[in-house]
Amino acid sequence: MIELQGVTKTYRKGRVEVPALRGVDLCIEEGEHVALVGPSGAGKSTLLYLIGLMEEPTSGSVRLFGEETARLTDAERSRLRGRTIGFVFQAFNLVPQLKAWQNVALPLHYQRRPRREQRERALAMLERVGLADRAEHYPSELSGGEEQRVAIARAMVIEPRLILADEPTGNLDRASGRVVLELLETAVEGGATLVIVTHDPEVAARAGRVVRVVDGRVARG
Amino acid sequence: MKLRSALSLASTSLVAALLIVSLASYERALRRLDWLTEVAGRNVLLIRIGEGGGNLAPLGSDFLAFVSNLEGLVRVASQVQGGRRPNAFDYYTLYVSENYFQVRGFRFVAGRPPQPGRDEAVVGFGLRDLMGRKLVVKGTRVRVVGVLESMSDRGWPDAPLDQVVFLADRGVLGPTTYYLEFESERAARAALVPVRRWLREHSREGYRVQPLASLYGLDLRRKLRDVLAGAISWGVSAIVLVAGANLATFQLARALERIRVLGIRRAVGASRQDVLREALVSATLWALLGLTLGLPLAYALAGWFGARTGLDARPTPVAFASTALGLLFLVLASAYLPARWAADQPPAGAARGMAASLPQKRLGLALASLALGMAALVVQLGVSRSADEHTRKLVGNLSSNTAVYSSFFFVGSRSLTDPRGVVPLDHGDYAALLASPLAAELRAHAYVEAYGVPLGGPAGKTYTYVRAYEGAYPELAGARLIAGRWPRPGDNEAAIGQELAERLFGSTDVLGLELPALGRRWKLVGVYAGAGEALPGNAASDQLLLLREDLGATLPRARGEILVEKNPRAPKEIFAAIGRFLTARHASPELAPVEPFTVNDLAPEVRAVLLELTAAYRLLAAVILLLAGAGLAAQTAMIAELETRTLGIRRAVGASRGRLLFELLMPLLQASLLAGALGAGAGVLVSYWVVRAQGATWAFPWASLTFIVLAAPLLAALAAALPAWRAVRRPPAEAMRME
Ligand SMILES: Nc1ncnc2c1ncn2[C@@H]1O[C@H](COP(=O)(O)OP(=O)(O)OP(=O)(O)O)[C@@H](O)[C@H]1O
Ligand SMILES: [Mg+2]
Repeated sequence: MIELQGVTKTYRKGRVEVPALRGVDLCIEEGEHVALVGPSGAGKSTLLYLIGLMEEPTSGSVRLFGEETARLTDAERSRLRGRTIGFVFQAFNLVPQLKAWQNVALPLHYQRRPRREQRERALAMLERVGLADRAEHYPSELSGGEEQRVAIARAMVIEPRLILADEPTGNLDRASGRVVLELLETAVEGGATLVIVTHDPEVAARAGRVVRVVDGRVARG
Repeated sequence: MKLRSALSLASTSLVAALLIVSLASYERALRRLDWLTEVAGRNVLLIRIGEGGGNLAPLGSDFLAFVSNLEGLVRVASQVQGGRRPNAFDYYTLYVSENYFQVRGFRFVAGRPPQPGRDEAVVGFGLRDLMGRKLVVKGTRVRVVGVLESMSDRGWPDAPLDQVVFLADRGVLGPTTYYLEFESERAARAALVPVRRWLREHSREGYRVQPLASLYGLDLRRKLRDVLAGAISWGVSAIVLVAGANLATFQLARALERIRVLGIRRAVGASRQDVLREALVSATLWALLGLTLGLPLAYALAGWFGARTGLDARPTPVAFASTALGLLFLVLASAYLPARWAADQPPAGAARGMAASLPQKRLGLALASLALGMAALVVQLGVSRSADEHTRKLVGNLSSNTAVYSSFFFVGSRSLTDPRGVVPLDHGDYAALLASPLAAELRAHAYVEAYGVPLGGPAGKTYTYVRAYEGAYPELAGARLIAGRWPRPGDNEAAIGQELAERLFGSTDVLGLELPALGRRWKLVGVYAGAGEALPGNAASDQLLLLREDLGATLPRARGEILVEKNPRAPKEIFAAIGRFLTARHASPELAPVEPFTVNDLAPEVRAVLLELTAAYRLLAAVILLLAGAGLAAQTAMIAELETRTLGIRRAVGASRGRLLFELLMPLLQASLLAGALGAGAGVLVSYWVVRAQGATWAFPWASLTFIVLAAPLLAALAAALPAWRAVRRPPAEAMRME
């Protein structure tokens, strides 16, 4: 359901060109749990952003759910992202001006769901991640682990087909990390596909498949 | 967050209020100027007794029959001066035809016109208490059946009518004035020649015909209107520019600040349209809120203006509507472009937190806004100052320390406008004044006699005034030498106005040439630039100045004028005292007292508009600076907030509060000094360009400029201090937690 063929990505800053990906071929099936590992700067995050339609490849094709994404307009890409893909970042990336429940409800807001439904579903999701009592708090009033659980609630509130997590446990202690990971794995049990970038061998070990990214390429084995 | 929002909301509503107030005063000022050109009676010819004597009997039915055949004639009205009995209390009376009030455009505030054949009267506004009462006028009992509106706003030619009793024409003999109303201004002007010819052919040259409007200085009013309208519209544009710059930078900074958040929103499925829509909706709400707060603020501001300058700036519906539209457009436009830019960034980069490197650019934006604001302010200063200067050039150079005693508007012992006679001033009066103790209070004085004469040169002929002066006349009358020198006694020397030189010789390169006038040849030793319009107390650019001493004596038909400038410390009452002194020399109950013309008496109705507006501009300029300050404060607040985390880090590694404050404010101070200077420089250039493009004289208040350039960084520091202090004071631990 995710098919990448000959994908390259080169960042350009003035005259300097940084090749982040140098030709990636990758297939991920529906319901798979994949860990992306590799040295720092190898291009893992870049790969994740490309799969999540957060940016466009310099060349090559990204097919998602059987669709060639290069053909999609911005509105269609946004719609796809908003309804089927849940993102979890290492740096949480909550909106500081919004309360916890409003952060969780944000994707529903862009699906134009009624406000009541937004709030109910967000609160239910917060309950599932164990933060029912922090719904009215702002991100700056939460601990890192709590923030990441809010971010996971935001990713899962849309019942995504695909969850993309970029070092979700990187900033957390072992216990909080485990909670976060378990939350993500429940989603996989529910049938979602999970792609998780990690430096933690323990986290990688729990994945169904491990993909190594080295120097902008997928290394076999 | 809250402080910044409050500041930018405050500046938005201040913008709204400023726009409303300036548009409203613009609208009212223009309306008043239009009205002044309207009431001048542009399509009316005035026929009245002029110089030269001859048969002064009324023109009679032959004339009326001739006139009725003129093309485009609508009505003829007439007025006979009833005069005033000497040595007894009496009213000034005018016998007027039935349609007089209609032709003159005089409205009634009460009652109706007198009916012919009845003993009825109408009174001027100053006598409104007499309404309904019976009077004895010229031995006849009349009943007052109507009161006219006040004429004082219409300008000096009509002002005396406020004290006049109007009676229905009953065939009384006396100096008669005719008003011929035509369909259009063109028809009126076209009739000038045939009427003149008729008067000549019937040997009635004692009567002179002229457009009624010329009495009011219609051309002057028009010119002033154009100059003022130009100045005002530039003032308004300056405000719009400052407002726009402020709003745009605010929105841009907001978009930059939000780019990370936008990235997050895009990650959870917001499309570019969603992001744009959100930005526009919030901007619209912002504009509406600013407008809502701006309206009461505008009323308050207008009240303040009114109390300080007498300018009526109360919001008008048009001003409010245009402001609403303009503000909405400004806010939306300035929100849309940056939002669009932010939305176009790939969400991945935003989510990675790339926006973190942008605070420097934000500071640049705030400074650009300051520079723009400064430029706009300086343009406005330059333009309004030039308008003032240009107006002064048009009407003469009277300062508030000068007064003119003139018999210029009077022919013989008859005023052209005042039903009373007036004192014909002469050289004896001047000599007597200088010999009196009053002279001690004067810093400068001059006497001048004007002679209306035809002049001719190789390039053309013209009819103008030769002015024979004594004393500091060129200085007091505001004539500036542009070539040569002023005449010296004994050699029949003269200085020629540059416009007259152009007309007679086709160039201003006329030094050493000779010009015949008043029966001799005058050697041109100087060329001067003077007023554009001949008025009492000025030397116009189309006249010839020479020394009265060379003339030897007063020639027939001289019109004397005495100009004085009082010592700066002498009281204003000195002007009235001189008037009484001159009146006493000609003691005659039939003559009106000699009144001083001061700066406010010259085209007072138009000048009043200018003076009020100049005062208003000064206030507006101050408010604009305030606005620029508010914008800067909002920007600083934003920068300080964005830097909060960095500040926390700096504090964590050991920086003191004072040190941080210094680090925050110092570059701002330097940069705003630079931005202010650059903006001011640009403003000076633009104002020069604008003023020259309108063909007006450029002038600039340099002192204010220095003040402003120095005030800008001070303002920046002040504006920045509060938010910076707030950011610095925050405990580092809390700061580190801020996103
Ligand atoms: N916006 C950008 N402009 C220029 N270069 C970039 C940009 N974003 C990423 N890069 C470069 O692309 C390369 C791949 O970056 P990427 O973030 O994908 O690495 P990564 O594998 O996720 O590393 P890490 O494990 O440290 O997060 C790096 O060399 C990085 O410097
Ligand atoms: Mg990474």
